[in-house]
Amino acid sequence: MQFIFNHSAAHIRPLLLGIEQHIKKEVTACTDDIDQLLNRCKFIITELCTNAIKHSGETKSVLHVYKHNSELIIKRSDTGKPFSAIFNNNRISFPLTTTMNMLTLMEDDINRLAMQPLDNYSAMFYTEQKESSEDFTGQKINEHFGLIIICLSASRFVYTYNPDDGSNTYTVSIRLT
Amino acid sequence: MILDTKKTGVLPVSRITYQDANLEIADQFKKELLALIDEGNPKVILNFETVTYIDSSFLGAMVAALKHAMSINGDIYLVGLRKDIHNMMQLIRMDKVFKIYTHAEDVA
Repeated sequence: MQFIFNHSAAHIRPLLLGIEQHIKKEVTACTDDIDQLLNRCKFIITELCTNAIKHSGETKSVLHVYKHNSELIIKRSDTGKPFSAIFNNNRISFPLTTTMNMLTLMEDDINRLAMQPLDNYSAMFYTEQKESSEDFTGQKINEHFGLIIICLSASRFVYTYNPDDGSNTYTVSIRLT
Repeated sequence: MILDTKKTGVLPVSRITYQDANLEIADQFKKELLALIDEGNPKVILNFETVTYIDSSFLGAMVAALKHAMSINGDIYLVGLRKDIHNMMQLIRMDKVFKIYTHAEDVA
């Protein structure tokens, strides 16, 4: 099912309510814990939309939410700015111009966020969590959580840039159990 | 005002007055919280009972304020979290960073 997101923070809550109703109808029979699934979807959609407002430079996105085999798929697409990030003080942006290995985009005392380019037009995001020490103070915690929240809520999180129409698609898969 | 602050106990209790704790109010929230801390309240209780969802921008503002509070031997205590927001805090391990209680009265 398709949902239009107007890039406004005020539109996120009504959008969440609409998608929640759709997910309940679509997958309730396919999961043991619908509340946990809905929570994960809420976190993912909130962050996909927040990223769109902050970074796309566009006014509208299209979200698709559907079941595919044993997964729930959430996709957000726009024709705004391609994904970019700072790595080693350099901004990297899609489409990539060189072959790259896995990049650590952010690391603090608790989380490491990494991006594995799949080719020049797509990449997969990963998060690794660390054990915090007893004398942990919170002073070394990064203040950027958006992609980390999506990674931790999803089974798979992939970004794709389409050079033909300049579109960006963020695809999140959640395994249904 | 995003924070409604009352000082009836030892520590001030600041209730977030918005349902949507998101990027739209994150900067103003941070400004108000930092001002409260700098007014001689290094330890603050944040009451989330009104909040129905929270995004990464707001979380970032909370962490920035916590770092500031800790730099002057203060702290920020969270109370009144809905179950899903508490779940998110656990998911990103912010439950290791913030001290979370059910009620303001539980904060020692």
